[in-house]
Amino acid sequence: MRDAEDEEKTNGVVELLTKLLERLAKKDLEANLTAEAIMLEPPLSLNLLFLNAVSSTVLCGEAMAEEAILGYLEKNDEIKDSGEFAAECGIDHNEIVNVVKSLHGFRYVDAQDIKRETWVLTDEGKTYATVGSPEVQLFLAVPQEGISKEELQKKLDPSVFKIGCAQAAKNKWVDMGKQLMSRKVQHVDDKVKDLLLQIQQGLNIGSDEIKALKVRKLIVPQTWKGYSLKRGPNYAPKRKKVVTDLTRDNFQSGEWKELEFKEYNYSAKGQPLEGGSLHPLLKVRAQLKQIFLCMGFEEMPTNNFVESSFWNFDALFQPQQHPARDSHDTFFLETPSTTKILPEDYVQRVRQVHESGGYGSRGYAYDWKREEANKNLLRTHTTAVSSRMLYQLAQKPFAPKKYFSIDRVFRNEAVDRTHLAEFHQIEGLVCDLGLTLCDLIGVLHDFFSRLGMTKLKFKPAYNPYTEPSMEIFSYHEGFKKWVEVGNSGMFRPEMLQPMGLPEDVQVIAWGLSLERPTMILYGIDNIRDLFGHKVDLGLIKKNPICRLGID
Amino acid sequence: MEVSLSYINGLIGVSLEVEEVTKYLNRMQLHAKQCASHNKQCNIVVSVPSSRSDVLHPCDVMEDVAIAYGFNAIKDKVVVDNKGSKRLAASLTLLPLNELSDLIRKEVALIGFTEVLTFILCSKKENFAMLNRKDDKSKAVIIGNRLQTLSMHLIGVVMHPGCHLEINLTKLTYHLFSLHQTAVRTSLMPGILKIVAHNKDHPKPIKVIYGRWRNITEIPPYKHFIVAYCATLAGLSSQIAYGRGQKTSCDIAVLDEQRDVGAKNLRQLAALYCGANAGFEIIHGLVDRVMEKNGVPFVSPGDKSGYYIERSDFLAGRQSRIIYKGKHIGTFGIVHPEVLNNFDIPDP
Repeated sequence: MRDAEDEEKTNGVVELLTKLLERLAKKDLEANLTAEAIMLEPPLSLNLLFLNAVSSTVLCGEAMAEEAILGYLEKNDEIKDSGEFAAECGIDHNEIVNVVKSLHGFRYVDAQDIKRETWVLTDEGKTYATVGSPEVQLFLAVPQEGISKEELQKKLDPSVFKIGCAQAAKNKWVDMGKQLMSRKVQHVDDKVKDLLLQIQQGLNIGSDEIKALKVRKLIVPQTWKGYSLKRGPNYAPKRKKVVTDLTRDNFQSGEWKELEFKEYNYSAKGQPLEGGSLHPLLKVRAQLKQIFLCMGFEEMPTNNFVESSFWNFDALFQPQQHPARDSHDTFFLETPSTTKILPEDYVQRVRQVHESGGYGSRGYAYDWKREEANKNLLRTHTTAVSSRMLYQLAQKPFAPKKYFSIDRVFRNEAVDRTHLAEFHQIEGLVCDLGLTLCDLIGVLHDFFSRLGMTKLKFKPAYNPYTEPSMEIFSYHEGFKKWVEVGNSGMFRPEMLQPMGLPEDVQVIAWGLSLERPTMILYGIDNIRDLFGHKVDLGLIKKNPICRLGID
Repeated sequence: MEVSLSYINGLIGVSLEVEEVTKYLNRMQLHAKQCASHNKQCNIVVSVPSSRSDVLHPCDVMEDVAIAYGFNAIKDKVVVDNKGSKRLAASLTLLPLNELSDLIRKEVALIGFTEVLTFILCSKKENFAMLNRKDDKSKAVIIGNRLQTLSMHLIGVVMHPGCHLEINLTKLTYHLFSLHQTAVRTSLMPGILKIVAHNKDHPKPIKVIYGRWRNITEIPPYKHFIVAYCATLAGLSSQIAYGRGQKTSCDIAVLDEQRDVGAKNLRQLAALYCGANAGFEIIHGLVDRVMEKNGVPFVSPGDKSGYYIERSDFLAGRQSRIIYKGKHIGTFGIVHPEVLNNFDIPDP
């Protein structure tokens, strides 16, 4: 038997190897490479070829099963029992089952489950089927004249002795005397062994007998699973290859027409694409810049963080003893510490208007100091740039202007969740003849409505360089309250006329921070989550576009 | 301090009488009375108490009048309602759709797609048959004037810096005259596929390593990414194709019975990935990115608070629909191999 099987396997392997070599021979280059490989490292090459052969054997098995099933269904309506079908074709039923699952998954066939419960012997059961039940073994060990318990125990296996005593007593085959055990009957039938053998042969037995054997744990149930098969909606005599993708190769060869594609999982997202993202604050800045341009404003150059106290404070008619000029609020510079060049005639006019007034004003009546005006600082507002621009405008024949800027300013403030020592300030100003407070209010309504703030109200405030001065409040529908959004006013004549601007020229202006509306827009409640080195890069990546100014 | 009535009214932008001004100023505890009218000008004499050190200039008096009058009561209907002062330049507005398109163009470019600009005019065949679509005669705007078409075509020849696009004008002209009809495209796909067809000679690196066993290194994908934009009244919609092609940033024209001229433009976004594999997951990633940048969340099928993807029965499940708030706004998938052949793209 063994010799025959071995010979059969050997023949199969030889046959497969022959086929492989024949295939390789058709491709000269590869054949040469193969031959070279065999000569150089015969053992490895032979092992690889052998492994390929073994693998082919397995693949052939399942391929045969698939071919058999699909071929049979081509001419017949159904396969009633996959077990019987496997027996008829001489194919292992497990292979049939595997193939059926695959074919059913791809809708080539419709499969209905078939279940049969059968009983199989446990290890203990198999032992008793071979050598007989323990009670029979015990009975046979008891001689006619009787035997002592001790002697009997030595004769038998301990478990056989134990179980045998119980069962033999139950069957009343032996008499358990004080000194001896003796037979009570002359002959017994081993029914247990007979039943076990019947089960092993697949015969049916009574339910009572099954229960008895089950209690003794000699048998356990086993469920046999099979299928009955019919043609499925995607039935075809041969299986189409299923690929995951359309590729250049199968496109060019035209093979795609015969291919079947695996389904996509649409509940998953696509592949994340590598790329960058724009910072939310700067996205808002870009939109605000666009809004100013649409309103006819041009941008002021704000590329100077270092500023002179003169342009930052004095030119704006802010007295030198004003608290804002305290070192607790302003970053004064150590290097470079002083301003080198200022327009001297303008400086003299500023000095005069501070000390003794003019242009209809009575001034602040204090001794103005040049050294104070010469101090350098980090600008505390972008109005410093506005003062420079207005001064330059005054040196030319007058023309109306609309300016804006959005850039960073610096204040010596304690950092908390709503304040930073540096932030972005937005500023807009209009310079024209005969402007009124009403014009300022109109411009503010236009500007803020583009930011989505349609309800505005104004409150009096004090600023040293604007008069009147107004705080701007907007009603926030989400917060259900009025929120301060900015500051505004008309520049004082004491600021404008020393520059040389005509008397009937007025300048209206307003400002707000960039951070606050951005935080409100994106629902960020800590300014450090938005600006600075503690910002979460994930936030920047996921942050949506800013649609301010886009309806 | 003497302040003229015209100064106060002129700066606030209202018209108040002397009696009103004096009343307001007295309310602000600046004692004011009208000056004797020995000239025609109407002046107000204000006595400033020593506690009001901030009053330096007549503008400070004007502010007190404004405060008493009420800042929120100052409303010039013309100024406020027209969103601008008569003396200011007109207030301008950009078109929201164009603004949105520009923002999305930037976002798509940030993740590595290259923008292209292609023609609006295309042949009727390209618009429908070559895309495996049926012309139901309800979408395409047809141009009947052959000569004008030729002129428009020539005017429309554009070299885009990001594309290696070559046009044989003679061949193009001949091709144009041989057409029965020319249509205005109803989809961005013809232009985007033609870009790929004309870039098919782009070099591809190939490496072959010979050893004991022959081994060909996988050929790197031929990547040529392009993006165009699209939008409809329902909001943003995308038409993203996977496979071959280029992107166009332009409008398409479709028939619309409710317009006075019977047609309208739709803004669309189209993108294409071209490589050895179809790359469905890359285009799917682009869809996710565009949605994320519009603040639209990914949700389960049937949920109307965001977007999800569902299957479409085209090329055995290789096409998908984008459902946004219950509406179908776009599709993406693998370009059908027959379409690739129609556009003469043998090597995708």
